[in-house]
Amino acid sequence: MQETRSIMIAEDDSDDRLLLETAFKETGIEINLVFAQNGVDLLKILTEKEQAFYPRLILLDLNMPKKDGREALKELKQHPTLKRIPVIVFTTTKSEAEITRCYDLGANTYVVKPDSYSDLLKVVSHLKEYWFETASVALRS
Amino acid sequence: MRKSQLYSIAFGFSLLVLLSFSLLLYNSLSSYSEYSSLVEHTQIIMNNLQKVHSMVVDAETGQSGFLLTKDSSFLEPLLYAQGELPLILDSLRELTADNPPQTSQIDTLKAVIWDRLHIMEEIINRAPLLDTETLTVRLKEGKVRMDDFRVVINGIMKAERSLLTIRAQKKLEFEQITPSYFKAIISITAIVSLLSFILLMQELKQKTAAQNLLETRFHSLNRSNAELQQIAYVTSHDLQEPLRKIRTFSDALIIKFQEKVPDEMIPIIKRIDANALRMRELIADLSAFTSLSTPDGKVSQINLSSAIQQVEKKLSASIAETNATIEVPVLPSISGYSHQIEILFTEIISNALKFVRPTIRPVITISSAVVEGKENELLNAGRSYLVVGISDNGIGFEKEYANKIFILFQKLHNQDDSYEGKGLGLSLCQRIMANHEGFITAYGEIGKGATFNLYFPI
Repeated sequence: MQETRSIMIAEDDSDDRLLLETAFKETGIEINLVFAQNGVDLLKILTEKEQAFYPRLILLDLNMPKKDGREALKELKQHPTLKRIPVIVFTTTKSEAEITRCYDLGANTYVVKPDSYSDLLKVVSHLKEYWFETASVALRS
Repeated sequence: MRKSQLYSIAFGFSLLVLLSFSLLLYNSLSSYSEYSSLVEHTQIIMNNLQKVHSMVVDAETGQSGFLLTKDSSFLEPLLYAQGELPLILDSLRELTADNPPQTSQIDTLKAVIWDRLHIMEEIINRAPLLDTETLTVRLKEGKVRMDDFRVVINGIMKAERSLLTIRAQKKLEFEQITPSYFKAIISITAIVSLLSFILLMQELKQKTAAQNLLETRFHSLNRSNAELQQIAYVTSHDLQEPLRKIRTFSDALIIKFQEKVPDEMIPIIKRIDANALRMRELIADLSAFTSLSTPDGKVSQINLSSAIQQVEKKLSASIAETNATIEVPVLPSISGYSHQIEILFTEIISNALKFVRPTIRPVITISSAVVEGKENELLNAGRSYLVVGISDNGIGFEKEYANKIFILFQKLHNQDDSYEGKGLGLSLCQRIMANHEGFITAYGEIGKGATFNLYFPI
C-alpha cells in the first residue's frame, strides 16, 4: 500500500475537469490528478492497477452516467481496502436529503461546487492544506 | 332554461288532455251503467204489466168456464189473481215511483182491476140466482170494465215502451263511445311515453357526450400539467449547469489574467457574468412559479394577522431601511396553504417597500371586508369573499397597466432603473390566489400609490 501524491477525480463533465485541473495548477503543489469518467471507470482504475494504487483522496461527483457517485460511494466504502481512502463528494446538489444520504453512505466530506472561480480556488487550496500537509492519513495494510 | 320550460309545458298539456279524456271516459261509463239499469228497470215493469194482463184475462176466461160448466176448478185463475195482483200492483207502484204520471196510471189500473174482479166475483157468487137477462147485463158491465182495463194497461205499456226505446238508444250511444275514449287515452299515454323515452335517451346521450368530452379534456389537462412539472424540473437543473460554468469560466478569466489583459476587457467579462447570474435567478424564479401550479402540502387554517406578522419579521431589514410603517388590523382566518400565503404577502409587501416615493415615509395599510360574489363581475356570483386590501403610498402606476403587471416577467420600469426585480412576483401572487380559488386585483395612481385587493372565498 502506497500513499501517493495523487488525487482521484471522478467527474463526467469535461468543463468541470478542466476547471479542477486549472485550479489545482494554481495552488502550485505537485499533485498528480487521475480522472475517471464515471463510477465504472473509477472502480476499474482503483482495482485493476498492477500495483495497488491508492490515491490520497477521491473527489467524487454524484451525477455520472453508467454508475453514479452514490453507487460508487457505497461500493467503495464496502470494499475491504478501498474503504480507507477518504472520499470528498463534490457536486452541484445542495439538498439536505442528499447531504445526509452521502454521509450515511460513508463520505468524509460533502462540498458543493462553487459558482465562482475564486471560490473554487479556495476549496482546492483548503483541500491541499488539509489532506496533503496537515493531516497524515495512515493506510494500514 | 328554455328547454326545460318547453318540456314542462308540453308535459303539463298532455297531462291535462289525458285527465280530460279520463273524465269523459268516467262520465261515459257511469252513464252507460245508469242507462243499463234504467233499461232493465223498464223491462221489469213491462214484464210485470204482462203478468197483470194475463192474470186478469185468465181470470175472465175462468169465469166464463165456470159459468158454462159450474166446475169450481175453473175459478183457480181468479183466486190466484186475487192473491197475486195486490203484490204485483204494489211492486209496480214502487217501480214507477220515478215517473209520477205512470204511478197515477197504475192507481187507475188498480181501481179498474178491482172493479172488474168485483164484478166477476158477484157474477160467480150469484150466478145460480140470476136470471138470464140480469146475467147478460152483468156480463156486459164486465166487458165494459175489461175494455177500460185494456185501454189503461195498453196506455201504460205504450208509455213504458217508448221510455225503453229512448233508454236503450242512450245506452247504445254510450256503449259505442266508451271504447273511443279508451283508445284515445291509450294512444295519448303511448305517444307521451314514447316521446318522453326518446327525449330521455337524447338527453342521456348528450350528457354522456359532454361527460366524455370533459374527461378527455381533464386527461389532456393532466398530461399538460405533468409535462409542465417535467419542464420545471428540467429548467431548474439542466439549464442551470451551463450557467454555472459560464460564471465560473468568466470569473476564471478575470482572476487568472487580470494583469495580462487590457482594462476594457474586465467590465465586458463582468457583464457576461452578471447576465449569467441574472439568467440563473430567472430560472430559479420560473421554477418556483411552475412548482406552484400543483398545490403543495395540506390545507390548513391560517390566521392572517399572524401570517402577516411573520412576513414583517422576514422583511424587518427592508422595513427598517425604508423607515416604513405597516398598519395591520385584526384579520380573520382562512383555509389555505400556509407556505403559499406567506409567499403571497411577502411579495406584495416587499413590492410596497421597493416602489416607494423617495421623499415620503412609506405607509402600508392593510384592511379587510366581506363582499358578495355578485357585487363584482370578476367573482363567482354564488359565493362570498373576504377581501384583504394592501395599500401603499408609493410611486403607484398608471391605471391602464392594472392588468399588465400580472403578466409573467412584465415590468413597468426599465432594467437599468433603480428598482431591482425580475417582474415575477405579481404573477406568482395571481397563481397563489388561483390555487385558493380566489382573485387578485390591482389599482394604482401615478404618484399616489397602489392598492392590491386579495379576494379569498369563504
